[in-house]
Amino acid sequence: MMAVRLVLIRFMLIVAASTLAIFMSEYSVRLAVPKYDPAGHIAFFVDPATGVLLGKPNSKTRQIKNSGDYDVEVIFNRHGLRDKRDIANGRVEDLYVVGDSFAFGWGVKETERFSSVLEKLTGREVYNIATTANLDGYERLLTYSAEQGAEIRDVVMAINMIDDVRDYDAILKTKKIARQIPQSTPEPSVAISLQAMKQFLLTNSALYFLATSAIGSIDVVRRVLVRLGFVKTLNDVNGGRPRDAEIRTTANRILALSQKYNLTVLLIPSRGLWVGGHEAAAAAAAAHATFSDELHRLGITVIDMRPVMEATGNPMAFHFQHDGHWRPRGHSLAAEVIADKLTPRQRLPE
Amino acid sequence: MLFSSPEFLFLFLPATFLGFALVSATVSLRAGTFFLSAASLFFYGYWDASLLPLIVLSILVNFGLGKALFSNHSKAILVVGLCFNLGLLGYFKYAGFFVENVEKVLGVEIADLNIVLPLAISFFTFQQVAYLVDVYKRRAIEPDFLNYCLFVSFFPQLISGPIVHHSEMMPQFRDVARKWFSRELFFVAIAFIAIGLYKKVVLANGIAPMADGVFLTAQAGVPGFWDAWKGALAYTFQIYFDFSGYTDMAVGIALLFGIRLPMNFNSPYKSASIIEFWRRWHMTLSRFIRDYIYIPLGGNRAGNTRRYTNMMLAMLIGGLWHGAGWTFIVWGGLHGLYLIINHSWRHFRPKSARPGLLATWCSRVITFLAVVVAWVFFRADDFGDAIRLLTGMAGLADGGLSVVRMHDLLVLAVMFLIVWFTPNSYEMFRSVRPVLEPKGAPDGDGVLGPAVTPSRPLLHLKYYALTPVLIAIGLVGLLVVIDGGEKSQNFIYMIF
Repeated sequence: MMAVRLVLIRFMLIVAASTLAIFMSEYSVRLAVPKYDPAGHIAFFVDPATGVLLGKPNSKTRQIKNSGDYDVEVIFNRHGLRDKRDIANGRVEDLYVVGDSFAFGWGVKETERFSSVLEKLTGREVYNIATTANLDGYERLLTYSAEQGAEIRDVVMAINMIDDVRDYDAILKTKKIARQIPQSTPEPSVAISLQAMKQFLLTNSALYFLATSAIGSIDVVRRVLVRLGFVKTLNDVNGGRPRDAEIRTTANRILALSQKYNLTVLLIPSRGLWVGGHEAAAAAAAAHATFSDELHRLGITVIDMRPVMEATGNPMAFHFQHDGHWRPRGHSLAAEVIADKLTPRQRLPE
Repeated sequence: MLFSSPEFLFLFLPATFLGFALVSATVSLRAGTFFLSAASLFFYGYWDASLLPLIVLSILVNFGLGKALFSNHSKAILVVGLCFNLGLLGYFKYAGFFVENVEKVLGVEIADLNIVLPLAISFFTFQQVAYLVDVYKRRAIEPDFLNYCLFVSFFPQLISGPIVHHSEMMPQFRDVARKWFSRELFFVAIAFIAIGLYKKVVLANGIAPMADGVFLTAQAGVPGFWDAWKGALAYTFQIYFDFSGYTDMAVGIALLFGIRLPMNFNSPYKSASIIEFWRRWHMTLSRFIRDYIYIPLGGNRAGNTRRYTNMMLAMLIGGLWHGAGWTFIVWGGLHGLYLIINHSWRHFRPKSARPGLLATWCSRVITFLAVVVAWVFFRADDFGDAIRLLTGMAGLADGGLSVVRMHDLLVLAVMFLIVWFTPNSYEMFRSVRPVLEPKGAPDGDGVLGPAVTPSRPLLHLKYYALTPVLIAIGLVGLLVVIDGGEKSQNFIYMIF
């Protein structure tokens, strides 16, 4: 009896001490390495009034990758946009950049984004209204900016081949149906996927962020984790090979937008063109070409980054080592290409 | 190579431990001592190889002078030794300060001395001065060169102390039959290293930006009331955890080699008086100042006036030992003044009065506040900064109160909880006596009280509760080190 009691006491002690240890560790990391505190990390929200995806207005956050690729400060202005300029002051002769995380400048400083570099190259005021939305969101962002007082005419829209080319009509239809059918409570899923758990920890635990960051910085360990499938590499590309229906709907959406604005599409190629398996790369190349051709056919001005990046001989050098977004040099290249392609009317202030 | 750097934790320490274990097991413990001496000199030379000859010269000269003193009890030899040691210290540490002040007073430019301060010179000089004085006073046993070399250069204590005394280290080095390794000792050693690392890289480095920010603000103007207190308190905790962390690591590392270092840090902010504070903070420096400065000056043997003068002089020298700057001297002077007030107060207080809980806490808070005020001078770059910060703390800033951030309050509250209410590392592992406690405690058992050997089940229960916490803090410490890479921050006491 005494022995059972002792075992029980030991067990309870270990559980209590372990709980305390985890709690202590989590808060210790938040104190010692505040940059890993999830409370200070970048987050977006959908503005309930406008349905626009924005950052928290007047906030200063960090964008940090546990692979060590980047650690930058992100400041959102009073409109929830990452731009030191106030969109309310935007005039018709100014240029507006909209897009997803690439145009937002994921992982790079505000001054390193292609919109900022473009401003330096052209001398023209460039407003960046990108967040992490998709094509649906771009339209809302343009409307939102106009509501704030911007006079928008010339727009550069970054279209990302990995996740911007979708069947938006089908998505809309699904949403409508979903709204009509009363929602039943979903069955709780017993199996929590590894990726979901990783994502949860990444966005909620400073300790996890530190641990993955520290472990990932040891090359040998990282290689083992990649081999075991715990860590994904740039070779794992989801998307970038859209079907014809997706290509058509997306192109039509862009066409509709081009009737409202003087639109230039910056086509951001999927890295699946250059990494991963041969078949996947061929499919990505075919999709890229089809989409580009479709836009041209519809008379939309397209700046395609694929040939420019491939001409350098090492297109992957424009991406971070462990993250699919562009490094500053990718942004610089894009800015140079856009500056070259802009028509004189677009280049010079009127 | 800081204790908290990856190269120390993952290369030097494991390699030295394994090397020592191998040599001791296969050859002899004496050979292990040789290995440890060589590793210690390598450790010192790794910082700056050009400074290695200095410490080697210092060891050779002092060992030679000690040997001469053993065979010839001559005051002249002692004087030569003192001149040599204090001359080295004076040249490397104080010459620039002296010249700078003379230039200011005379208004002339004398020389632009650009002397690099050799690492740990204050520590190894004091240790050897104590040795020579004790040899002269026939209070030392003649060591052999190898043990003497290790006594001066033993890497766990070389950079930031404790200031070890030959009488406590030599017997351990001499005892070649000692059992230097046991599972329990190894566990305690690792625990000390983990706790120390955590204190340094998490607590001290974590709170450092809070202090740095405010002291930087004070260079431009008077900070607001809350900001000023936040900065002063943050530094008070930073230096506590920095020094305590280093000391714990030093104790743990020394224990890996079966060596017990003297106790140097015993929850000083729990002190209920300044006298007690100096019995708990940098205890080996206090001991040195008492035995080799205060008592030789006359101590308390010639009346209160002389006693207080001696006390003030000793503390001013203690301040100057920390750094060649007037702010350090003022810090020492303030503590001298505090000690005088404390001793005077004791003189008038009824002897029989035993303070109650409230009185003890009042004393503790007053002592803490006095220490905080003194740290402002210790940390500030110059008087102007210190006065501006103290003005802010007094609530005399133009802006008045500043904004209180809940996060800062919470951090400071946690720090208070740790320093006032948690047991220290020695208390946690007192059953294995991890350190050499000061002699002469009233109960004859040292400052931690009698050694408690709990019954085995209880002992195990304690370790069941401690182990997960120790593993966690050790891992967090290591992860921060790996993640920080080259950006390891110096220990504050390294520059002294």
